[in-house]
Amino acid sequence: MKELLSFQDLYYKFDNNQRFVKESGILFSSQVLVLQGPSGAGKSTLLKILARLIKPDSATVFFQGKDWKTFSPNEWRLNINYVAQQPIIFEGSVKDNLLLPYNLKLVSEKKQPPTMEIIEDYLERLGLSTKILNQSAKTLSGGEKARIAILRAVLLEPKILLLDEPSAYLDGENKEIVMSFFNDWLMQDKRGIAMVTHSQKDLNYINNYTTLNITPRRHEIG
Amino acid sequence: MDNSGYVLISNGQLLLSVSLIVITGVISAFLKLGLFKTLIWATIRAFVQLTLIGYVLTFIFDLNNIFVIIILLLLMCFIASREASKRVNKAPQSTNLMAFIALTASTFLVVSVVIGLIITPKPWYSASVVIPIFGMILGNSMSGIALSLDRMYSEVNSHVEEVEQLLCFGATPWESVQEHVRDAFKAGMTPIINSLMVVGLVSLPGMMTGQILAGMEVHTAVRYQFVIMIMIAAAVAIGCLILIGLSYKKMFTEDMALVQSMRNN
Repeated sequence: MKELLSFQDLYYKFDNNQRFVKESGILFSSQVLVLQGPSGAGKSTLLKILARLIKPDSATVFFQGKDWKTFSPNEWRLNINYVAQQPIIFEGSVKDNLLLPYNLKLVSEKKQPPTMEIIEDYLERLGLSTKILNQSAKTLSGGEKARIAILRAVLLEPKILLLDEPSAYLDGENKEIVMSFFNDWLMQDKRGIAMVTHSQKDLNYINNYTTLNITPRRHEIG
Repeated sequence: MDNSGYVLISNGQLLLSVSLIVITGVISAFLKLGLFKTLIWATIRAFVQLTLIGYVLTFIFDLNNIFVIIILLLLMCFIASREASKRVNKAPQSTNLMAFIALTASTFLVVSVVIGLIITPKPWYSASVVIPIFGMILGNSMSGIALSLDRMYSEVNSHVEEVEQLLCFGATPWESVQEHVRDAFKAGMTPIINSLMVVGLVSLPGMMTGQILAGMEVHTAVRYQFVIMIMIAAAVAIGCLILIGLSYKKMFTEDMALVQSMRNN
C-alpha cells in the first residue's frame, strides 16, 4: 500500500477557549481513513484543515511525498476535494450545478467538462434518474442534493475526497448505494478518502479502511 | 418681493420657526416618546453648529487660499471616512484607511471634472464653489460606500458555506465572492439611481430649492442640479469600486481561505 497523504502533529487551537485538535495520521491509497470521535472533538475541523480552508497553528502535511506548501491552495483543493456535510447547492439546474466548476479559471484550464454520457452513467450508479438534470437543483430532496454534491466533486477527478458525514442525508438503501460507490471509486489510480462518520453500518460496504479516533482535548485552565 | 433677490429671514422670523419645535414637542409628549429633552438639545446643537459653520465658511470664502481649502477638504474626507466605517458591520479589520482613500480619490477626481470642465469658476479653486459641491458629493459618496461595504461583508458572512464550496472547486478568492461583490456594488448605487428616477416628480432637491429661493433662474438651477446628481452617481461608483477593490482581498488569508472572523457567524 502506498502512502497518499500524511499529517504529523497537526495542531489547531479553537477560538476563545481551551479546546484544541492535535492529531497525526496517514491515508494510504485505495483506503478510507475514518475519523471517529465524540462531537466537538474536531473531526470536521480536521477535514477543513486538510482542505486548507482553515489554517492550523502548526502541521506537517505531505501529499504523494510533497509538502503541502509546495501546492497553490486552489490546486490543492482540486486534488484534495472537500464535500461539506450539508450539501451546497447553487441556483440553476442540476446540470448547471454539476458543470459550475468548469466556469472557474483553474478548472477550465486544467479539465474538460464531462460529457453527458459520463454524467448520466454516474447518475445511474448513484441511484439518481437522468431526468433530474434539467430540474432546478434547489427543488431536489435532501438525499438527492447530497448525491449531486458528491457527484460534482467526483467529476473533478480529485485524488482524495474529504467527506463530512456523506450519508447524513441518505436513507438506508441510498446509504448502501453511495458507500458501495465510494468503495468502487477507490479502486482506480491511487485514490483515497478521509471520512467523518458516526455510522458503523456505513463501513460494512467499505473493503479497506482504518480508523483514527479523535479525542476531545482541552488545555488546563489557569 | 423683488424677483431677482432672495427673501431674508429676520431674527424675529427665525425665532418664530422655533415655535414649530413646540408642535413636535407636543406630539412627543402626547405619545410619551420621551424625546422632548433630546429634541431641545438637537435643536440647539443644529442652530449653534450651523451658525458656527456660517462664520467658518464666510472666513474661508473671504480668505480663498488654495492650501486652506485643500486641508479643509481632506478634513471633510477624514470625518466622512470615519462615519462611513462606523456604518460597516462585520468588517474583519478597521476600514478607516480604505474608506478615506476611496472617498478622497473618488471625490477629488469627480470634483476636478466639475470645476475643470463644467462649472469652471474663476479662479478654479474658488472656495464658494468648490466647498459646497465637494460637500454634496462627499455626503452621498459616503453613504454609498458605507452601504456597499456593509453589504459585501454581510453577504459573504451569510454565505460562508457557498464561498468555501467555490474555493474547494479551485476558485480564486475573487471568483468565490464575485456574486456577493456585485450585490454590494448594486446596494451602494441603488439610492442614487433611485433619486435620479424620482427627482422632479417626488422630490425637489435641497440644492435646487436653495438656488431658486436665492433668486436663481429656475432653468439654471435645474442644470446645476442635474450636473451634481450625475457627478454624485459617478463619485459613488468610483468610490465603491476603489473601496471594494481594496477590501475584498482582506477577507482572505494568504492561503486563499476566508479569514477566521469572516467564518464566524
